[in-house]
Formats: sequence, structure tokens, C-alpha cells
Amino acid sequence: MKLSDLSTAGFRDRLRRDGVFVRTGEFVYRIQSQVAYLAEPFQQLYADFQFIEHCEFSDFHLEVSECRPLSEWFRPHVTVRQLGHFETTPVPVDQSVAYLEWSLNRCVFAQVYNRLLLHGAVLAREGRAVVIAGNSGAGKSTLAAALALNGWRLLSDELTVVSPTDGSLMSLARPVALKNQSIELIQSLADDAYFGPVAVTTAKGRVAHMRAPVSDPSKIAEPAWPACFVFVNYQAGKDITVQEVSRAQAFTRLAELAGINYGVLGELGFDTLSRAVDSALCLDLEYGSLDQAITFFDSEYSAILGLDQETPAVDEHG
Amino acid sequence: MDKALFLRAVRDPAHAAGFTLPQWDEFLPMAHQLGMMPRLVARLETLGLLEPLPEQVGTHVESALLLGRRHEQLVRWEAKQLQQALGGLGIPVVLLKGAAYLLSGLNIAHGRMYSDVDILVPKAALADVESTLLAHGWTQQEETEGQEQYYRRWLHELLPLIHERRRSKLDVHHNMLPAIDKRQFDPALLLADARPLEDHRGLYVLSPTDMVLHNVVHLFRNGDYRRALRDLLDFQQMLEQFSEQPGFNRHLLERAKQLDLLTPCYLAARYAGRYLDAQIAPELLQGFAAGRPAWPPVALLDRLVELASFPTQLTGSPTVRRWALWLLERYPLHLLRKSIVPKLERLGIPTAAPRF
Repeated sequence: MKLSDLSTAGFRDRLRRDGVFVRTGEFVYRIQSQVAYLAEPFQQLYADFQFIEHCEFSDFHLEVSECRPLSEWFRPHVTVRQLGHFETTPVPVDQSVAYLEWSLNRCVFAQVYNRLLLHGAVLAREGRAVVIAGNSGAGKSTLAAALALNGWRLLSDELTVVSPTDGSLMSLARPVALKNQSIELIQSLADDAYFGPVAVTTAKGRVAHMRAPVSDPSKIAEPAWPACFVFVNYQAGKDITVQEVSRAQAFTRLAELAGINYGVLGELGFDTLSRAVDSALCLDLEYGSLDQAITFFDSEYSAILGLDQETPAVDEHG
Repeated sequence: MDKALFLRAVRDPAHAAGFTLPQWDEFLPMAHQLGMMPRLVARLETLGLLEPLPEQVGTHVESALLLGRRHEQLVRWEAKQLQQALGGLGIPVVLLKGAAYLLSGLNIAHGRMYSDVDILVPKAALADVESTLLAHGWTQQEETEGQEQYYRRWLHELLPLIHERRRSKLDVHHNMLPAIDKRQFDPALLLADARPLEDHRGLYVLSPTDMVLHNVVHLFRNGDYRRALRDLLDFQQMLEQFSEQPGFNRHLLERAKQLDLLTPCYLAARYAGRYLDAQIAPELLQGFAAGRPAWPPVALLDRLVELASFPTQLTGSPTVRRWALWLLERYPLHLLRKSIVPKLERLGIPTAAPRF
């Protein structure tokens, strides 16, 4: 049974009482909320996730609640709180989906120290993953969404979780966060994909989340192994250029993108990252249109790695 | 999970090893809220009890272990850097709190989390210490002039310094009590009794009695209750470890009287006894009893300290805890001045300089 099999009222009721359990990769979130607004987009974004009646143990407990004093007179505000950890500042209720998603990432970034965490999207074909890294605004999520709509399996949009024991990348399959013009761009590629409400935030401009396309539900939780690290850079109007990056350079860049977790892991982080980079192809990719980038990944890239070049069957959402 | 069960696991982590999965589900967020997980798992590791824990809590247990180890490594490194920077000044540099526990090998240092390193130096050397630290890469934060002045005039420490590359925070103290506290004692007494660290020339730690007194002052005199339960646990376990030294209890009592610190000692013993079932020597209890505060009523303090110390899941909403913390920060009354004085100054109302 999937979360989409619950009625909207049933879903809202669960959210209100015991909470909804979301298992993503090896993490279980328990999310509770009295905020009626949240229920519908939340259920839609996680439609393909398994419905869990009850879970004895959740890794992260979150509560989205309305702030009572005064804010309701003007415009309802909500906060997202992780039990025992943090509470966001109040945001208008139409940003609750964006802030909940952001909070779900924050839980992992702030509390998981037994795996290496990188900022980047992960997509895979035949168990071999490409990690899309790059600075904020470089077009990581846009490219990840486009590839996911073209039959690549999306493991993660924002969070790359590397296991120090076997080097595998965790499959989270959570929604993809799109910003500003990327929202309409990706919407134009996928008529029937579900998009959450567009939140106008002060920090990042407009943000909307797209449900992760799932082509084969049986593989949703399967990890993949890094075959390629791509540093993307979107440059409007430019032709695509691809250049190989030395492993040492790729290592340094990834370590810089890794954030606080890398520093805490110390030697374990160093070893995990160097092993991941050692066995992978590392590329700089500059692109001006999504079509070119997708063509590159479907043909040349697949040829280099010896993947099946035929475009796999497009799933029901793509 | 009720208070008793929670406290039992805090007091003796071996109890946590027997938790069922739903009990972990409730316990973890509470332990996290109080920053207790690394300490708890460090203890479980020592006891050899990590293996039997349920697989599902593995991420949190491993993360807490790694985090604890990393913090320890960073603080040891920080102490080395301090030794190199300040070693040439020829003054005692006394490590305080966590860093001192760690480098003097106390049990309570296992799995400790550090937000900063604290040192105590002679007030006369403050200018030298500050300029030397600045020359070695520590930087002053960009704060308003008023805030800087406030720290210098009314508190017992400088505005925290941040190292430009390591981003580590350093609190430089010149006293144990803020200047705003009228019941002062001469901090030279602490320096005179400080103990050198064998393998860190130039670095010192407070004597065992003063270490215990600093712990209780931090809570019950300076009013920082955010980690109250951890501090009480430290108090209890320090007493346990130190009381093996002959005459320790007698020394502690004499020193507390000499420095006029019986009240914070009384309160620490009271709450360590209540929450952690601390077995405190009768001679100490008798001696501390003279410090029982007449005002505010102890029953009121009991309630506030409980609200501030426990995870909000056990006592009520986060708002209630914030209120309790806010009130306790202003008790005893000199601390009320601490928050009022800067406001008066901002309004241009002259305030008397503190008396010594």
C-alpha cells in the first residue's frame, strides 16, 4: 500500500494524530501536523512512498505547527520543529512544504555522522550512479529533474549519502527542489508530473518541489555505486562542453562542498571520499540547454561507461 | 517514558542498553535536546554494551560516538595551540570546564561536547594575552562597541575570540564571577592554587575543590541553566572521583566558606540528590545547609530548575522552558542588574561602576 492509496481526509487525519511515517533510504521520518494546508501537497509529493501504519522507531520526529499569536490575523504562519533539535522561524503557511523539505534535509545534514554527506544530486542507471555536484545555483537540481524525467533513476536531489563501509550511495527518492525559472522549464518537460505549491521565499526566490519520478517501484530503495562525478555549470546560451577533471582536483572540490560532516568524520571522511573518487570518472560539464545535457548523458556518457545506450522506457510520470 | 525512567538512563547509561525500540524512540530526542547522546554512548562503549543495542538506533549511536571522539581530538589540538601561543608569556594559563576535565583525565570528559574552550588568566596580564592571541590568528568578532564595553565592564570574561582558520571559539576569563556580582572574591586565590598540567607546560587546571566550585557557580550563581542536568551530573561524578583523595570533602567545605559559595553548593547538592540520586557525604550536606537561600522560596526554585533542566517532552512546552530559563538567568538578583544595566546605558542613564 502506498501513501497515495489513503484518502485525502484519511491522510490529513493521520498527519494530525499519530503522524505519517516516511521511510526514505535507511531513515524513517515521523511527521505530525495540525496544518490542514500541508496535507494535500505533502501526500502528493510522497504519493509513491510506502504507507507505514506504525513504526516503533523513527530517526527524526518533525512537527509542523501553526504559530498562534497574532499571525493568524494577518496571514497564518507555521514553524517546523524537529523534536529535541531545532525549530525554524515562523514562515507563511504557503511556504510550509518548502520548509518541511528543507528541514528533512537539515535533520540528516546536522545529525548523521556515520556516513559521508555531500551536496549533490544522484541518478543511476544499471546500479551505476552519476553524482551531480556544483555550487548553489549551478543547475544541479534542474539537470537531475530532467534526467529523472528521461528514465534515469533518481536516488537523491540534494543529499548525497555515501556509506563508508561499501562506498554505496543511499537511495532517498525524495522530491526534487526547483528554483525560479527551472520550475516552468521542468513543468514544460513533464505535463503529468506533480508539482507542489510555489513558495516565494526571501532567501532563495521561488521554490517548488516535484514528486520524484519512479519507473520501477521495486528498485526505489536500491543503492547505487558512484561511477561519475559531474561538476555542472549552467550558462544560458552556451554550447555544451565536457572536460575531464583530475581525481585530485575532483576530491578537493568535493571536500569543499561536503560541509560540516566531512570535518567531523576526519580520517573516515577522507578515506571514504578518496575511495569514491578513485573508481569514478570526474567531469566538468557546462551546458546551455537541457536537451544537450540529456543527449550527452544518454549517448556519449553511456558509451564511455559501457551502459546500455537505448533510452529506457519512460515511466508513468515522465 | 516518564521522568524516573529518563533519569535512570541519564544517571546510569547501562539502563539504556535495556531499552525497547519504542523507548529509544522517545528517549533519543530527549537525550539529544540535552546534548547527552555522545556522553551516554561513550559510557556504553566503556561498559561494552554497544553490541546489544537495536540495529535501528545504529545511525545515532555511531554518529554520537564519532562526534564525541572528534570533539575530544579538536579540544586537545586547541589546547596545544593555546600552549604554543601563550606559553612564552610566563603567566599561568588555566583551562576551565570541559577542556580542563579532558586534559586532567576526569571520567566526565568521555563523550563531552564542546562549544568553546575557556581559559582563566591573571587580570593584570589580560592586555598581553589578548594581543598575543590576536597575533596568533584569534580574531575579535564584529560586535558593537557597546557590547564589547559591556563585557569588559560588567562580566568576568572578554567577548569570545574566534580563530580565523579553525573557527574555534575561545573565552578568556579573568574572574569566576562577573563584575556585576557584588559578593566577589579575589580570583588570585584560584590562580594560586591551580595545578600545572604535566604534559602541557604553561597550562594549568583549577585545583579539584575549585573545579567543583566553578561547576556550581556556572549554574547557580551565573545562571546558565541550559545544560543543567549535564552540569549536575558533572558535579555528582566529580565529587565521586575526588572524594577518593583524603581530606577532599573537608577542603571543599572550607573553600566554599572562604569564597562565600555555600549557596550554589547547597543547590547543586539538592538537585543532584533529587534528580540523580547522588550520594553526597553527610558532612558536606551539613556544611552546605548553611547556604540554603532564604529568598526566593526554595519551592519556587525547585519548580523553575525542574522546568529548565528537563527535556520539554517531560515537563511541558518549549515556551515554558524558555520562560524558566529566562527567569533563572535573572536569579540571584545581581543577575537582574546584568540585563538591566546595558539597557539603561543604551538609554543614556548613567550607572555606577561595579564595586570590588
